[in-house]
Amino acid sequence: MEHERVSERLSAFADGTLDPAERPAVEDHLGQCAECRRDMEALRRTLALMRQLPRPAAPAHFAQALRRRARKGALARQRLLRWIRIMVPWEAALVVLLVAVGGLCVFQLLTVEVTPVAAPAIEVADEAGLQAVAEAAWQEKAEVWLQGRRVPPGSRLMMGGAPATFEIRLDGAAWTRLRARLEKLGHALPPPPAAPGPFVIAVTPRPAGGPVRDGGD
Amino acid sequence: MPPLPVSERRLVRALQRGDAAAFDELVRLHQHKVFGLCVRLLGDRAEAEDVAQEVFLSVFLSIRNFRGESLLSTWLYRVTRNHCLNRLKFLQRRAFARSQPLADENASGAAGSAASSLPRPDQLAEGRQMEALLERAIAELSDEHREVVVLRDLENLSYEEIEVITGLAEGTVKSRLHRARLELARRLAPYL
Repeated sequence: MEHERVSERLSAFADGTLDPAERPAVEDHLGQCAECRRDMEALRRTLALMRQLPRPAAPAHFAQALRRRARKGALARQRLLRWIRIMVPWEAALVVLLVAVGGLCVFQLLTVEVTPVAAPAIEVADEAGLQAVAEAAWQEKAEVWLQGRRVPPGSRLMMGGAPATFEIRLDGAAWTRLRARLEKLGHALPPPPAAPGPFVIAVTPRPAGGPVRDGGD
Repeated sequence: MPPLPVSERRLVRALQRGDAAAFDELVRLHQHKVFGLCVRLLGDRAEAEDVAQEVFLSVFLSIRNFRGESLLSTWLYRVTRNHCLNRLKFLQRRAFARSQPLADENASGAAGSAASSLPRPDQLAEGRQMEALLERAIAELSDEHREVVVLRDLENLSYEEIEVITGLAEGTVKSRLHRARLELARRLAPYL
């Protein structure tokens, strides 16, 4: 067996765990190689020395200190649990949980996204017409929204001195009533969509010289 | 792995029931093994005592996870080894300087290589001083070399047990052990 391979096996040879089939080759090489014999001797002496090394004994107070620490840890846990029980009774925790869940449900109901209108937008000729449509919507208890804000009834719908595009948000019943009211103003609104509301109807000023394009045209 | 001895099975069952007397018994039986391994792996008695206590406390809390697939002592060694590795990482992050070099209260600081910091051969007497040399040489091995040398040559564990404790493959354990022993022999050569 060559030098490198024997060198790798010296440690196992020294502690008696080398495969018996490999022992003769290692012994044969040791008889010829002074360097491996030196390493082998150093390994044997090191191992012998290590086997004589006494194990460090735990200090005499070890078990007692450990018991003290265990009691302290248990006591701290008990105190924490007692504090939680006193400060946060289960009933209170349950109420907080129910309120949080209820609040979340209400929040979700209030923030339901509005269904986009199925009909085309209503176009009106001028500021007076725009204002008349808004008044009709307010009378039917529909909401009027301008630039993402709800506009209170009676407001003038102007933006930068010009009539502004706005939205009417309403449910199906209000749609039907508004449809009748707008007909009197000369605007044709289709019947409400079959889907459940609420709906959004856009109301825009007609471009100068443009054709009439009402919701029902 | 051999089945758990009857006495050990009883002890484990009592521990799993939360029996305080069983905890005392576990400490009585294994405190020196656990503390000894901590000292060898950490190289510091104060740290070793603290970690050994943590080991027993964590064993008491996690004994329900012990399924008897190895001897209780092997499992304890594994828990101890893991705690020591965690502590070593923590200490290395804090650039820990050993407060009390193991078994070498008279020697000067542990900095530098073993060969340069060890006393000359003519200064050495037999016995205790040779132990101190060996202790220091072991302490100065790399963490991965030190753990296999400690488990095999100081704790006299089998390769199979070392594989369970360290999670290393047999070939890795053997090659690390070989390199670690050669390193120790090289460091101690002037005194042998």
